[in-house]
Amino acid sequence: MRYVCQLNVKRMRGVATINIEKVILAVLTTNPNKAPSGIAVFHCESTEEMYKIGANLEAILDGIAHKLTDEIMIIVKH
Amino acid sequence: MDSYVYPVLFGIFCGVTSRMLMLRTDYRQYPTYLHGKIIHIALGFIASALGSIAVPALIEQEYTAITFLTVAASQFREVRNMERNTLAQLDQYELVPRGNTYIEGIAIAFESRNYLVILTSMVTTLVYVLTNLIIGIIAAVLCILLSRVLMDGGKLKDIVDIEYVEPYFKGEGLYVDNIYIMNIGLPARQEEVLKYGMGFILKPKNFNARSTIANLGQRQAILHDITTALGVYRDSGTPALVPLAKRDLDDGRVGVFVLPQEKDKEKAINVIGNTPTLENAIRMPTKRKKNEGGGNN
Repeated sequence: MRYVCQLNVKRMRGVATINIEKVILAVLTTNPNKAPSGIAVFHCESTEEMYKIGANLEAILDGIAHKLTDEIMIIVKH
Repeated sequence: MDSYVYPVLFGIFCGVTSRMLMLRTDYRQYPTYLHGKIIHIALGFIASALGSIAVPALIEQEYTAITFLTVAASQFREVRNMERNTLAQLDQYELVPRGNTYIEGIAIAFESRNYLVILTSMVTTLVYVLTNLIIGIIAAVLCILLSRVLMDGGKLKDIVDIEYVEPYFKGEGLYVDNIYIMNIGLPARQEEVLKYGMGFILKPKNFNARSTIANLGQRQAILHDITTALGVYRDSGTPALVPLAKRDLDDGRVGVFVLPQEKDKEKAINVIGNTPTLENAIRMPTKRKKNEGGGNN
């Protein structure tokens, strides 16, 4: 799975702050065979569990939960 | 020089009055508070003083006084920078930001208003010196009216037709009419979006309008203005609840999706219609075609 990472470096009062945009923060899946590697993957027992974890991750990571197929969701920072 | 005291004072008075009339807390929602206003009235006073004093200086054949005006020009370029920096800093903490195009438009407006103040004070002083107070007052009123005309830009309702459309989901995709807005994965979030969301279709009236509303800055300005007028159902930590405007590539229509706190269709259409057409977003492809055959200039 390919993802795009954009780094914006802003200098504010001598301190560099880095904003990460358009990056997949986590993947949720009910089908372990389709889970990608190299990224945080949450294996879920059911779709309901996927939604529940997705809602929590959305709030924690400040990213949006997108559904790609019935079995895979991604949390993306926009 | 004593004979110029009253004309100069009158010119300064008219210039400051003109600046105060142009300093409305309007759709831009800025400046809202007293301190912001004081800065602009003070700069307006400086502008009107420069404009007024230039007239007697020129009449007395003190031509070097014209260099005063170059000082004014660089001073007001600074005003533009100041406005740009302030608004760009504030924009980081807006739930729905203004966007750089809108900010640049506001900064340009602030600079140009100071030039209008110089014009007003210069003309009124000149007319007073050459004639009398009564004609000076008439000139001042005309200048202030002219400033108002020059200050007002176009509105979005002049270039697009606005129509309300209920947003809907096809699978996980959110649509306004046939325009895809975004993918929202969680059913709970989808319910919120349908409950609070409103969709609008902006149909360009001509080819120029199509290019103008395609501008991302113009679209962000629309979203910001609706949010300012009707509120927004959004907070930090709920990134899925985001107002967006997307374009139909086939015919140039723009689908606007917003999450207002006050769900009033008529008011929302009115607010979108009154969004300013940003100077920096205006494109006129048809003018180019017209001028193409004009030879080399």
